Amino acid sequence: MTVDALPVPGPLLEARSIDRSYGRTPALREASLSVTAGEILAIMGPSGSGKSTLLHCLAGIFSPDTGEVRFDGRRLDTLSDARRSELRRTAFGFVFQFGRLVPELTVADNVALPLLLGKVRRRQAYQRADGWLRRLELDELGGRRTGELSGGQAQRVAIARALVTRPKVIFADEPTGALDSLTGEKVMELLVGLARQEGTTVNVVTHDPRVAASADREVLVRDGRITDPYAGEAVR
Amino acid sequence: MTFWLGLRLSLRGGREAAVRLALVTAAVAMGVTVLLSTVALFNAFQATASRPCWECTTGSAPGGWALGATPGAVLWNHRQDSYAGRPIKRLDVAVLDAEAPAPALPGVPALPGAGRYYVSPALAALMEAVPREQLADRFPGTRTGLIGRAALSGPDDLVVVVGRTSGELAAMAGTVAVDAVATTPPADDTTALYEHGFGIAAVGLIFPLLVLIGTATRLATARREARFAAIRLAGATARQINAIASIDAALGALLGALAGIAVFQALRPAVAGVAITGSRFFPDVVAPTALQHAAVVAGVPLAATGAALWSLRRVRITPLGVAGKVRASAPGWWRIVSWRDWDCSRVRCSRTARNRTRCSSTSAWR
Repeated sequence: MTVDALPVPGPLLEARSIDRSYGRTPALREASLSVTAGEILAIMGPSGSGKSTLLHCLAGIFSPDTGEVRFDGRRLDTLSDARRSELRRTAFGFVFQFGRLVPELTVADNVALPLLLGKVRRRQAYQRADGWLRRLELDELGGRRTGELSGGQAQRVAIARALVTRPKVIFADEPTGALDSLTGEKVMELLVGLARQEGTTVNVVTHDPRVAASADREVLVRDGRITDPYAGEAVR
Repeated sequence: MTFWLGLRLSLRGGREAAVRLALVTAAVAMGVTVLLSTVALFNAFQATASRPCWECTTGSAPGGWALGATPGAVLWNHRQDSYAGRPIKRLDVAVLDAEAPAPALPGVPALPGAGRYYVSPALAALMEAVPREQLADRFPGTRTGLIGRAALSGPDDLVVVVGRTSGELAAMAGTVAVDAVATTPPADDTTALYEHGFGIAAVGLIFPLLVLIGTATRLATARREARFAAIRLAGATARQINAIASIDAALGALLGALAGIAVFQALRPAVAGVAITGSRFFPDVVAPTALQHAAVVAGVPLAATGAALWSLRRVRITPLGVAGKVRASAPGWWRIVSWRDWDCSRVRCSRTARNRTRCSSTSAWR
């Protein structure tokens, strides 16, 4: 009996032997990593280990000094700045430690911002933003400036902004780092829950084991090298 | 979208943005006021300098004036008088042939006959203000009227045109026979000097204001760059960020230009009172042309936008903050003098999310 081979989907996001240094200080050394579509990956490691640098390389914010980063099978690290900006508007979402919202703008403006920058019509952009604000129970805050929000509210707004474009990947860098444990737990539940509903891949950098526990897989970054925390050997 | 975002960040950017906008607006307003004042004074100077110079009239045949004068000629004696240190242009004339048409003098309907005189408004006022024996008695006869502005350089000009008999003038030294009054502007060597002076003064006055504008635009830079980085993270291209930064500068410059025009209009009477060449200009000629107004309103925001883009040329706003590439250049004399900003080789610096600066070379003094 023969079984027809099913097409095996390639990794959605892939780093191949990437190096990245700041001056003479290496941050990443021969780092390789694959992330499949819909996967929730926790990148763990002590402070200064290179985990944020890895995330920024995967997101195309940094280019590695050597090696390749591929997204959806295409080289990401060689794309022009304009193309990478387009990816940030359309395919990627970001939830960083301090929200990285624009405090001069309202909550609704911030959530609609990636759409507006992508020249989506204003009415449509705000309709979609309002939909996400309702989903995250933030609809009453739509007219408030983000500078007036609590940390937990700001992170929920950041999640809404990250998801408003229905991205393929969300990059989260210590999303609960500035929150108390209870609020942080709720924010992670929300992020992971929504990502699973939407089928969105999540790469989350954290040093909090409770955050990592909600992920499908963990990798450990130590001295710029990626290791499997359970196998204890280099993952290539 | 970028226009809307730029406006929002400028107008609703909190206290620092408001202070920056106010400072840029004030600095540009001052710059525009100075620029318009300089241009207006220059226009007034040019209008005055191009006035027909009746004072430049030269006579013919000074040795044989009485007998050899052509029909319609007049005897002409122009000299400088003064009162309390103020110069008075005095012209004594005698019409030789009352039947023939006499040369026309700008500002007066006809040359005065013997025993009559015309005075400029400023001289008329002065004559009324001081004792008669000190000034009015110098001019024999009765006042016929006032000299019009066509013959004057400004409202303070002290001019008198006195009608005399030919016999009286014959006895005066320096009398000539004139059959045509000069209508060309004076060939004055100091005109070009004044024109250069205006240019130098404009640059000298505006340069400190440009420094102020530059300082104001750098106010709260770190916070502004953090905003730009957040917008980059949301997907803005570098070009969109440049546009947003330009709107910020252009808005301040536009408001400043409009405020500057308003301030200039308010100060115009005072500007007209400035005696650059020793006497004031007529107030209505102290004005920029419509084209100059338009050039200032359009040019200043354009220059500010250009300056904003120029200041961003070495700064790259990334989604995480600012990264700049600084190319080494030989230090010029101004850097040697100011002993600052010594850049060594190629330096790559970036400001991180936590506002730390990372440089690839530690040999850079920044």
